[in-house]
Amino acid sequence: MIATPPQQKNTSRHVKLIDMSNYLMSNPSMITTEPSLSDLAAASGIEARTIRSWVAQGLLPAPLNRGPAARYPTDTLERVLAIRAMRDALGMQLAEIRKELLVASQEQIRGYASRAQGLAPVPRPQPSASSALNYIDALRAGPLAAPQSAFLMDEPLIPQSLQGFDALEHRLSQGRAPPARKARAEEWLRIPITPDVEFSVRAPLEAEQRVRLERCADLIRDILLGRDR
Amino acid sequence: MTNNSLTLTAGLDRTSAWEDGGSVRYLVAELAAEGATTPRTDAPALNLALAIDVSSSMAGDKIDAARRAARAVAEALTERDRLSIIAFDSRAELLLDACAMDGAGRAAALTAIAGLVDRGSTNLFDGWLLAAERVAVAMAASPQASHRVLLLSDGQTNRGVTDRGEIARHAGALLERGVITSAVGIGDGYDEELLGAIAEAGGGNLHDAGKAPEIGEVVLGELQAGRAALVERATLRVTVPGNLRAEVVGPWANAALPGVIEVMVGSLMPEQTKRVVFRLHCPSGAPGTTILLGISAGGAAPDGGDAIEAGSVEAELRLVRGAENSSQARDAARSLSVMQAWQAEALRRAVRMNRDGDGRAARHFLERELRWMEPYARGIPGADILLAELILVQRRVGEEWDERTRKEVYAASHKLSRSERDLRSEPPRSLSDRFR
Repeated sequence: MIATPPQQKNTSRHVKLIDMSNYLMSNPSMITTEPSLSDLAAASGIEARTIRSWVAQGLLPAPLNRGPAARYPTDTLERVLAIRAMRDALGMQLAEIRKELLVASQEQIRGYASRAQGLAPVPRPQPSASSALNYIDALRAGPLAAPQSAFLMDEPLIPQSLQGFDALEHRLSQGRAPPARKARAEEWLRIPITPDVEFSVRAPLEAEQRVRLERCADLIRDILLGRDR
Repeated sequence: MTNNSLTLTAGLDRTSAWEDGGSVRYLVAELAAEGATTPRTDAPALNLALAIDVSSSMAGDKIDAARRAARAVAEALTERDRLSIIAFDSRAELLLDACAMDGAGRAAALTAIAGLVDRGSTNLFDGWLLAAERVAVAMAASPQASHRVLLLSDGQTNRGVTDRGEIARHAGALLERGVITSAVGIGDGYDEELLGAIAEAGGGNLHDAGKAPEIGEVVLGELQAGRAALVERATLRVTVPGNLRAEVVGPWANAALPGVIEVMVGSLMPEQTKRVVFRLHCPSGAPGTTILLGISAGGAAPDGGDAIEAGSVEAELRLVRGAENSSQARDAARSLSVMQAWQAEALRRAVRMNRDGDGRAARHFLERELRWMEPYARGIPGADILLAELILVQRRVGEEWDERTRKEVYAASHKLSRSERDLRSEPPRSLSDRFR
């Protein structure tokens, strides 16, 4: 058995800022230990597809990098469990959950997450000799049979008829000469702090820089809500 | 019942860190297996599936060599072993289904092998899945064996499931259920990232076979590895406190859950020690604060049976004042292991950038890595060679490399950092020889 590490002094906010700056300096591209989508799904009992939709809705932080090997910030599992508890145990709507997550302290989120323990799946028992076969059968038969579909869902669909931006462009350009090309798109990241305050930062940002800014947003939220002492 | 055992040792390169935080320290964990070297008749039975790429690019020497390798495997197996053969191009075809290698089975295998002919595009996932399925069916009937899939491919998968992460995840899921996957990359056109990811997650090995004759060498070598392994599916677990950030350095499939990192180490052979390096980003704290890391490991007996656990160990990191931190000694052997893992990781990333046509980024990346690595390497016996290799690669990584160079640099860094042996009779040139 592994000995349980002793409790450390709670300096997590300060520590994480230092960690991040050090991480940036030392080696931003090394493999990180943050959970992947499948880790989160396995540990929380929530389908990967649902977790992705929660990310898209801003309930969870965006992954630190892109692609199927994407990793999420370390405290994401706690948030997933907290959302699950609020939804399944407390019957809250996603809009309410979003507001609650914006103002909840880390301790409160942990409290919600602990309520999900009873809902979380029990650890998987040791596999039996037939479990490999069961897995392959499920892979061939079930939704796993098209495992990349969750990612494909984000791909834009080819419109059958004009709609969305195609329709908009078509409508705007009707009867007008092509304009001089002046507008240039810029990418900005939006970090909600409270329901009334947000951070807007020009992209691109390194994933680590984004995490640091999110941490800053958390600190600002604590100050705004009088929790900075 | 097995008497094999698993030995775990672990320690830090330096045992103190600065009280103000930001120190980077490394944990080096070493896993080795011990046990009586079993005579051939006592070795675990093998339940092996060969999944062989027969897409059109395999035509000629490569398909001939794959046939010869498969024949050699059929000859080398005994009546206690089972062999499945799957040919895959755009679809997967079962040529031989978990046949015991007695006289009749061997004859059936040789007939099946003769039917390996080159044809269309590559659906690697379906080929691998069918192979795993045949192994799983035989496994359900007789669990007491070493259950393995060996994937031979020369190409880029372009049909069916092609996502690397997805395929590797399934390989990992089947490993948890007892089926090991290794891969042989044939020629210069295979997808080393895909085959590497499958082998890492699948608990097996990645072999590079640039020339046709090398296919037989590595396939038979892998077969012997299946016979000789003392522990299979070895997993290393490190518990870290919440205020310490840890990451695995090197090509190891790993899962990070809050407070625990699990690394799939794979099979352990006699006299083989596998080293896994973790980079730790240390927190701040009062001088004298100790941070405990718990390290444990487990695996399975190669006959598909008992779980084998290693005695767990602890590593202790202490936060100290600046002067004490600066003057501390460090463990030279562990520091060299860190350098090896670090260099291999940097090489892999540089190869990826070179392949993506971004030589400039690769050069800058290695420049930056060298800036951090040089001060770390000072005073470590043996580290200069690693630095020199990286400098030689850095000078040339901006050029467009041919595929063979990429494959060899990738495979060499992969094998070095995973403590795996190159099974070819004539291993490729060293990095220094290649780039000097």
